[in-house]
Amino acid sequence: MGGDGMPIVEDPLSLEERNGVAAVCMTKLELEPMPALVDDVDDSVNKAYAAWPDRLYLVGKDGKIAYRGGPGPFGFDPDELETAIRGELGLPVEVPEE
Amino acid sequence: MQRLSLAAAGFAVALAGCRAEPNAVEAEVEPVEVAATVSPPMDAGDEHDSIWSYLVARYDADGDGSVTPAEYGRASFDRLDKNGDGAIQAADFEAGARDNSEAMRRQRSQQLLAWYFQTDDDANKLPRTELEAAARTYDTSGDGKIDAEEFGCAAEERRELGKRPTRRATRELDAFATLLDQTDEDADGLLATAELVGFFDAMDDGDGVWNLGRGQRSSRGSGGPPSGPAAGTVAPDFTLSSPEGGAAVTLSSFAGEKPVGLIFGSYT
Repeated sequence: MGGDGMPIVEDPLSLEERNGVAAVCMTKLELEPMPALVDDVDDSVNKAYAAWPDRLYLVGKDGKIAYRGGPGPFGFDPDELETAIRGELGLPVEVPEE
Repeated sequence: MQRLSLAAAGFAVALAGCRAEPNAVEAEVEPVEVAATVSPPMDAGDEHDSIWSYLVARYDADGDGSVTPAEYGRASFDRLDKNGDGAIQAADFEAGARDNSEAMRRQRSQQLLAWYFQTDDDANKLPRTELEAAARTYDTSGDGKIDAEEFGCAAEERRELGKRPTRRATRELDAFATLLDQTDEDADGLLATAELVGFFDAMDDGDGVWNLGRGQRSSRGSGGPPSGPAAGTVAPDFTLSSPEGGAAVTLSSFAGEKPVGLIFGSYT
Protein backbone atom coordinates (compact mmCIF):
# COMPACT_ATOMS: atom_id res chain seq x y z
CA MET A 1 0.00 0.00 0.00
CA GLY A 2 1.06 3.50 -0.55
CA GLY A 3 2.11 5.86 2.16
CA ASP A 4 -1.37 7.26 2.47
CA GLY A 5 -2.90 3.86 2.94
CA MET A 6 -4.25 3.75 -0.59
CA PRO A 7 -3.10 1.15 -3.05
CA ILE A 8 -0.76 2.71 -5.51
CA VAL A 9 -1.16 0.58 -8.55
CA GLU A 10 -2.73 -2.70 -9.34
CA ASP A 11 -0.55 -5.62 -10.18
CA PRO A 12 2.15 -4.52 -12.55
CA LEU A 13 1.64 -6.30 -15.80
CA SER A 14 5.17 -6.30 -17.06
CA LEU A 15 8.63 -6.66 -15.67
CA GLU A 16 9.25 -3.09 -16.63
CA GLU A 17 6.36 -1.90 -14.52
CA ARG A 18 7.50 -4.10 -11.66
CA ASN A 19 10.92 -2.57 -11.83
CA GLY A 20 9.35 0.85 -11.61
CA VAL A 21 7.24 0.00 -8.61
CA ALA A 22 10.15 -1.73 -6.91
CA ALA A 23 12.37 1.28 -7.41
CA VAL A 24 9.79 3.57 -5.85
CA CYS A 25 9.35 1.10 -3.03
CA MET A 26 13.04 1.12 -2.22
CA THR A 27 13.03 4.88 -2.22
CA LYS A 28 9.88 5.51 -0.26
CA LEU A 29 10.76 2.96 2.35
CA GLU A 30 14.34 4.17 2.49
CA LEU A 31 15.63 0.68 1.91
CA GLU A 32 18.57 1.75 -0.17
CA PRO A 33 21.42 0.81 -0.24
CA MET A 34 20.07 -2.64 0.56
CA PRO A 35 20.20 -4.55 -2.71
CA ALA A 36 16.81 -5.22 -4.21
CA LEU A 37 15.83 -7.79 -6.77
CA VAL A 38 12.57 -7.97 -8.64
CA ASP A 39 10.65 -11.19 -9.03
CA ASP A 40 9.37 -12.35 -12.40
CA VAL A 41 5.84 -11.38 -13.41
CA ASP A 42 4.79 -14.93 -12.65
CA ASP A 43 6.00 -14.50 -9.05
CA SER A 44 8.00 -17.70 -9.34
CA VAL A 45 10.40 -16.95 -6.51
CA ASN A 46 7.64 -15.59 -4.32
CA LYS A 47 5.71 -18.80 -4.85
CA ALA A 48 8.70 -21.05 -4.29
CA TYR A 49 9.17 -19.41 -0.91
CA ALA A 50 5.45 -19.02 -0.13
CA ALA A 51 6.41 -15.47 0.66
CA TRP A 52 3.36 -13.36 -0.08
CA PRO A 53 2.82 -10.70 1.20
CA ASP A 54 6.06 -10.62 3.10
CA ARG A 55 8.39 -13.08 4.76
CA LEU A 56 11.92 -13.42 6.10
CA TYR A 57 14.36 -16.19 5.33
CA LEU A 58 18.01 -16.76 5.98
CA VAL A 59 20.03 -18.94 3.63
CA GLY A 60 23.12 -20.38 5.27
CA LYS A 61 26.59 -20.44 3.83
CA ASP A 62 25.88 -24.02 2.89
CA GLY A 63 23.08 -22.94 0.59
CA LYS A 64 20.42 -24.43 2.82
CA ILE A 65 17.61 -22.65 4.61
CA ALA A 66 18.94 -21.60 7.99
CA TYR A 67 15.83 -19.77 9.08
CA ARG A 68 12.32 -19.66 7.73
CA GLY A 69 10.16 -16.94 9.17
CA GLY A 70 6.43 -17.21 9.61
CA PRO A 71 4.19 -15.99 6.80
CA GLY A 72 3.57 -12.26 6.90
CA PRO A 73 2.35 -9.95 8.02
CA PHE A 74 1.92 -11.60 11.40
CA GLY A 75 4.88 -13.89 11.10
CA PHE A 76 7.24 -11.23 9.88
CA ASP A 77 9.69 -10.87 12.73
CA PRO A 78 12.98 -9.09 12.15
CA ASP A 79 14.14 -10.02 15.66
CA GLU A 80 13.99 -13.67 14.75
CA LEU A 81 15.96 -13.02 11.60
CA GLU A 82 18.56 -11.13 13.56
CA THR A 83 18.93 -14.04 15.97
CA ALA A 84 19.30 -16.41 13.03
CA ILE A 85 21.94 -14.21 11.41
CA ARG A 86 23.90 -14.04 14.62
CA GLY A 87 23.75 -17.81 14.80
CA GLU A 88 25.04 -18.20 11.27
CA LEU A 89 27.88 -15.79 11.84
CA GLY A 90 28.80 -17.34 15.17
CA LEU A 91 28.00 -14.18 17.06
CA PRO A 92 26.52 -14.24 20.54
CA VAL A 93 22.76 -14.35 20.53
CA GLU A 94 21.38 -11.60 22.69
CA VAL A 95 17.94 -11.56 24.16
CA PRO A 96 16.38 -8.28 23.12
CA GLU A 97 15.36 -6.14 26.02
CA GLU A 98 11.93 -4.79 25.19
CA MET B 1 18.10 -3.93 21.57
CA GLN B 2 21.50 -3.96 20.03
CA ARG B 3 21.62 -3.46 16.34
CA LEU B 4 23.40 -6.10 14.38
CA SER B 5 26.11 -4.95 12.07
CA LEU B 6 26.94 -7.37 9.31
CA ALA B 7 30.43 -6.17 8.77
CA ALA B 8 31.82 -9.67 8.59
CA ALA B 9 29.63 -11.40 6.11
CA GLY B 10 26.19 -11.63 4.71
CA PHE B 11 23.89 -9.06 3.31
CA ALA B 12 20.19 -8.77 2.87
CA VAL B 13 18.49 -9.03 -0.46
CA ALA B 14 15.06 -7.51 -0.73
CA LEU B 15 12.75 -9.09 -3.23
CA ALA B 16 9.87 -7.06 -4.56
CA GLY B 17 6.82 -9.13 -5.36
CA CYS B 18 3.55 -7.49 -5.90
CA ARG B 19 1.41 -6.20 -3.14
CA ALA B 20 0.63 -5.19 0.39
CA GLU B 21 2.33 -3.60 3.33
CA PRO B 22 6.00 -2.70 3.21
CA ASN B 23 7.35 -4.21 6.37
CA ALA B 24 10.85 -4.65 5.14
CA VAL B 25 11.80 -1.12 6.06
CA GLU B 26 11.77 -2.02 9.72
CA ALA B 27 14.18 -4.94 9.51
CA GLU B 28 17.14 -4.08 11.66
CA VAL B 29 19.66 -5.94 9.58
CA GLU B 30 22.29 -3.64 8.21
CA PRO B 31 23.85 -4.83 5.03
CA VAL B 32 27.29 -3.45 4.67
CA GLU B 33 28.81 -5.41 1.87
CA VAL B 34 27.13 -5.18 -1.49
CA ALA B 35 27.90 -7.85 -4.04
CA ALA B 36 29.75 -6.53 -7.04
CA THR B 37 27.17 -7.91 -9.40
CA VAL B 38 24.35 -5.73 -8.10
CA SER B 39 24.01 -2.25 -9.60
CA PRO B 40 23.99 0.77 -7.35
CA PRO B 41 20.47 1.75 -6.40
CA MET B 42 18.69 4.17 -8.64
CA ASP B 43 18.78 7.61 -7.20
CA ALA B 44 15.06 8.13 -7.29
CA GLY B 45 14.92 9.48 -3.78
CA ASP B 46 15.68 13.07 -4.56
CA GLU B 47 13.46 13.35 -7.58
CA HIS B 48 10.41 11.33 -6.71
CA ASP B 49 8.52 11.73 -3.50
CA SER B 50 5.30 10.36 -4.89
CA ILE B 51 4.01 7.86 -7.38
CA TRP B 52 2.65 10.69 -9.52
CA SER B 53 6.01 12.30 -9.65
CA TYR B 54 7.59 9.06 -10.73
CA LEU B 55 4.94 8.40 -13.36
CA VAL B 56 5.06 11.84 -14.88
CA ALA B 57 8.81 11.71 -15.15
CA ARG B 58 8.71 8.33 -16.76
CA TYR B 59 5.73 8.58 -19.08
CA ASP B 60 4.82 12.17 -19.79
CA ALA B 61 6.70 12.43 -23.06
CA ASP B 62 5.40 15.85 -24.06
CA GLY B 63 5.66 17.24 -20.55
CA ASP B 64 2.14 18.62 -20.40
CA GLY B 65 1.33 17.21 -16.98
CA SER B 66 -0.85 14.49 -18.41
CA VAL B 67 0.06 10.96 -19.28
CA THR B 68 -1.87 10.03 -22.39
CA PRO B 69 -2.82 6.56 -23.60
CA ALA B 70 -0.24 6.71 -26.29
CA GLU B 71 2.31 7.58 -23.69
CA TYR B 72 1.52 4.83 -21.26
CA GLY B 73 -0.26 2.06 -23.00
CA ARG B 74 -3.93 1.32 -22.89
CA ALA B 75 -4.14 -1.48 -20.35
CA SER B 76 -2.14 0.26 -17.69
CA PHE B 77 -3.78 3.53 -18.57
CA ASP B 78 -7.32 2.42 -17.86
CA ARG B 79 -6.25 1.10 -14.54
CA LEU B 80 -4.78 4.35 -13.36
CA ASP B 81 -7.19 6.89 -14.81
CA LYS B 82 -9.34 6.81 -11.74
CA ASN B 83 -11.71 9.65 -12.56
CA GLY B 84 -12.10 8.35 -16.08
CA ASP B 85 -11.57 11.67 -17.80
CA GLY B 86 -9.28 10.27 -20.42
CA ALA B 87 -6.03 11.37 -18.88
CA ILE B 88 -3.98 10.30 -15.89
CA GLN B 89 -3.31 13.39 -13.86
CA ALA B 90 -2.44 14.46 -10.36
CA ALA B 91 -6.15 14.41 -9.50
CA ASP B 92 -6.29 10.67 -9.96
CA PHE B 93 -3.73 10.30 -7.21
CA GLU B 94 -5.12 12.70 -4.70
CA ALA B 95 -6.39 11.42 -1.40
CA GLY B 96 -9.96 11.50 -2.63
CA ALA B 97 -9.27 9.48 -5.73
CA ARG B 98 -11.01 6.19 -5.46
CA ASP B 99 -9.65 2.90 -6.54
CA ASN B 100 -11.78 1.36 -9.25
CA SER B 101 -11.30 -2.15 -8.19
CA GLU B 102 -13.79 -3.48 -5.71
CA ALA B 103 -11.64 -6.51 -5.15
CA MET B 104 -8.63 -4.44 -4.23
CA ARG B 105 -10.65 -2.27 -1.91
CA ARG B 106 -12.07 -5.28 -0.21
CA GLN B 107 -8.72 -6.94 0.18
CA ARG B 108 -7.09 -3.85 1.59
CA SER B 109 -9.81 -3.18 4.13
CA GLN B 110 -9.89 -6.79 5.18
CA GLN B 111 -6.15 -6.70 5.63
CA LEU B 112 -6.36 -3.57 7.76
CA LEU B 113 -9.03 -5.01 9.95
CA ALA B 114 -7.04 -8.20 10.26
CA TRP B 115 -3.89 -6.40 11.29
CA TYR B 116 -5.58 -4.41 13.97
CA PHE B 117 -8.53 -6.49 15.04
CA GLN B 118 -7.31 -10.01 15.42
CA THR B 119 -7.16 -11.50 18.87
CA ASP B 120 -5.90 -15.01 18.26
CA ASP B 121 -2.90 -16.38 16.47
CA ASP B 122 -4.69 -17.58 13.38
CA ALA B 123 -3.66 -14.88 10.97
CA ASN B 124 -5.51 -16.50 8.13
CA LYS B 125 -9.03 -16.06 9.41
CA LEU B 126 -11.01 -13.26 10.91
CA PRO B 127 -14.33 -14.43 12.26
CA ARG B 128 -16.92 -11.80 13.09
CA THR B 129 -16.82 -12.76 16.74
CA GLU B 130 -13.11 -12.07 16.84
CA LEU B 131 -13.61 -8.70 15.20
CA GLU B 132 -16.26 -7.81 17.75
CA ALA B 133 -14.09 -8.92 20.64
CA ALA B 134 -11.13 -6.93 19.38
CA ALA B 135 -13.30 -3.86 18.82
CA ARG B 136 -14.39 -4.11 22.44
CA THR B 137 -10.81 -4.05 23.62
CA TYR B 138 -10.12 -0.94 21.56
CA ASP B 139 -13.21 0.81 22.86
CA THR B 140 -11.85 1.63 26.28
CA SER B 141 -14.55 4.16 26.98
CA GLY B 142 -17.17 1.54 26.35
CA ASP B 143 -19.37 3.82 24.33
CA GLY B 144 -19.43 1.49 21.34
CA LYS B 145 -17.17 3.76 19.32
CA ILE B 146 -13.43 3.88 18.77
CA ASP B 147 -11.80 7.25 18.39
CA ALA B 148 -8.37 7.97 17.03
CA GLU B 149 -6.83 8.07 20.47
CA GLU B 150 -8.31 4.79 21.59
CA PHE B 151 -7.15 3.26 18.35
CA GLY B 152 -3.63 4.57 18.79
CA CYS B 153 -3.39 3.47 22.42
CA ALA B 154 -4.71 0.03 21.75
CA ALA B 155 -2.37 -0.44 18.83
CA GLU B 156 0.49 0.65 21.06
CA GLU B 157 -0.50 -1.90 23.69
CA ARG B 158 -0.71 -4.63 21.13
CA ARG B 159 2.80 -3.78 20.06
CA GLU B 160 4.07 -4.02 23.58
CA LEU B 161 2.40 -7.36 24.05
CA GLY B 162 4.16 -8.58 20.96
CA LYS B 163 0.98 -8.83 18.93
CA ARG B 164 1.06 -7.65 15.37
CA PRO B 165 1.17 -5.08 13.98
CA THR B 166 4.37 -4.38 15.80
CA ARG B 167 6.43 -1.91 13.93
CA ARG B 168 3.87 0.24 12.30
CA ALA B 169 4.02 3.17 14.63
CA THR B 170 3.65 5.69 11.89
CA ARG B 171 0.81 3.89 10.26
CA GLU B 172 -1.90 4.01 12.86
CA LEU B 173 -3.33 7.31 11.79
CA ASP B 174 -3.28 6.13 8.21
CA ALA B 175 -4.97 2.90 9.15
CA PHE B 176 -7.54 4.65 11.28
CA ALA B 177 -8.33 7.12 8.53
CA THR B 178 -8.54 4.41 5.93
CA LEU B 179 -10.84 2.32 8.08
CA LEU B 180 -13.02 5.34 8.73
CA ASP B 181 -13.16 5.93 5.04
CA GLN B 182 -14.45 2.46 4.46
CA THR B 183 -16.90 2.19 7.31
CA ASP B 184 -17.95 5.50 8.77
CA GLU B 185 -21.57 5.49 7.70
CA ASP B 186 -22.65 8.27 10.01
CA ALA B 187 -19.52 10.27 9.25
CA ASP B 188 -18.85 11.05 12.88
CA GLY B 189 -15.15 10.35 12.58
CA LEU B 190 -15.44 7.40 14.92
CA LEU B 191 -15.23 3.70 14.29
CA ALA B 192 -18.41 2.37 15.77
CA THR B 193 -18.37 -1.34 16.55
CA ALA B 194 -21.67 -1.54 14.74
CA GLU B 195 -20.13 0.10 11.67
CA LEU B 196 -17.21 -2.30 11.69
CA VAL B 197 -19.51 -5.27 12.02
CA GLY B 198 -21.82 -3.88 9.35
CA PHE B 199 -18.85 -3.53 7.05
CA PHE B 200 -17.80 -7.07 7.87
CA ASP B 201 -21.25 -8.45 7.13
CA ALA B 202 -21.53 -6.56 3.88
CA MET B 203 -18.37 -8.21 2.60
CA ASP B 204 -18.84 -11.58 4.18
CA ASP B 205 -20.10 -14.40 2.03
CA GLY B 206 -22.42 -15.51 4.78
CA ASP B 207 -20.30 -17.81 6.88
CA GLY B 208 -19.25 -15.17 9.37
CA VAL B 209 -15.55 -15.57 8.59
CA TRP B 210 -13.14 -13.69 6.39
CA ASN B 211 -10.41 -15.77 4.90
CA LEU B 212 -7.24 -13.77 4.64
CA GLY B 213 -3.68 -14.33 3.62
CA ARG B 214 -2.89 -16.80 0.93
CA GLY B 215 -6.47 -17.87 0.45
CA GLN B 216 -7.32 -14.36 -0.60
CA ARG B 217 -4.86 -14.31 -3.42
CA SER B 218 -5.52 -17.47 -5.29
CA SER B 219 -3.52 -16.27 -8.24
CA ARG B 220 -0.44 -16.30 -6.11
CA GLY B 221 -0.93 -19.13 -3.71
CA SER B 222 -0.18 -21.97 -6.04
CA GLY B 223 3.14 -23.52 -6.79
CA GLY B 224 5.75 -24.53 -4.27
CA PRO B 225 5.09 -25.99 -0.85
CA PRO B 226 2.35 -24.05 0.92
CA SER B 227 4.60 -23.41 3.85
CA GLY B 228 7.76 -22.55 2.01
CA PRO B 229 11.07 -24.42 2.07
CA ALA B 230 11.81 -25.73 5.54
CA ALA B 231 14.97 -25.12 7.48
CA GLY B 232 17.68 -27.57 6.51
CA THR B 233 16.45 -27.96 2.94
CA VAL B 234 18.29 -26.55 -0.01
CA ALA B 235 17.14 -23.00 -0.71
CA PRO B 236 15.28 -22.81 -4.02
CA ASP B 237 17.64 -21.15 -6.40
CA PHE B 238 16.80 -18.12 -8.47
CA THR B 239 18.35 -15.54 -10.73
CA LEU B 240 16.82 -12.09 -10.64
CA SER B 241 17.82 -8.54 -11.46
CA SER B 242 17.60 -5.28 -9.62
CA PRO B 243 14.94 -2.68 -10.50
CA GLU B 244 17.49 -0.76 -12.50
CA GLY B 245 18.03 -3.80 -14.65
CA GLY B 246 21.64 -4.38 -13.77
CA ALA B 247 23.53 -7.66 -13.84
CA ALA B 248 21.50 -10.57 -12.52
CA VAL B 249 22.09 -12.09 -9.10
CA THR B 250 21.93 -15.85 -8.54
CA LEU B 251 21.27 -17.05 -5.02
CA SER B 252 23.39 -20.17 -5.26
CA SER B 253 26.42 -18.09 -6.16
CA PHE B 254 26.77 -17.15 -2.52
CA ALA B 255 26.97 -20.74 -1.29
CA GLY B 256 30.29 -21.31 0.40
CA GLU B 257 30.82 -17.55 0.72
CA LYS B 258 28.29 -16.00 2.99
CA PRO B 259 24.79 -16.34 4.38
CA VAL B 260 22.06 -14.42 2.56
CA GLY B 261 19.10 -12.80 4.20
CA LEU B 262 15.95 -12.74 2.08
CA ILE B 263 13.45 -10.04 2.87
CA PHE B 264 10.36 -10.65 0.80
CA GLY B 265 8.14 -7.65 0.57
CA SER B 266 5.67 -6.04 -1.73
CA TYR B 267 4.46 -2.62 -2.47
CA THR B 268 1.29 -2.27 -4.41
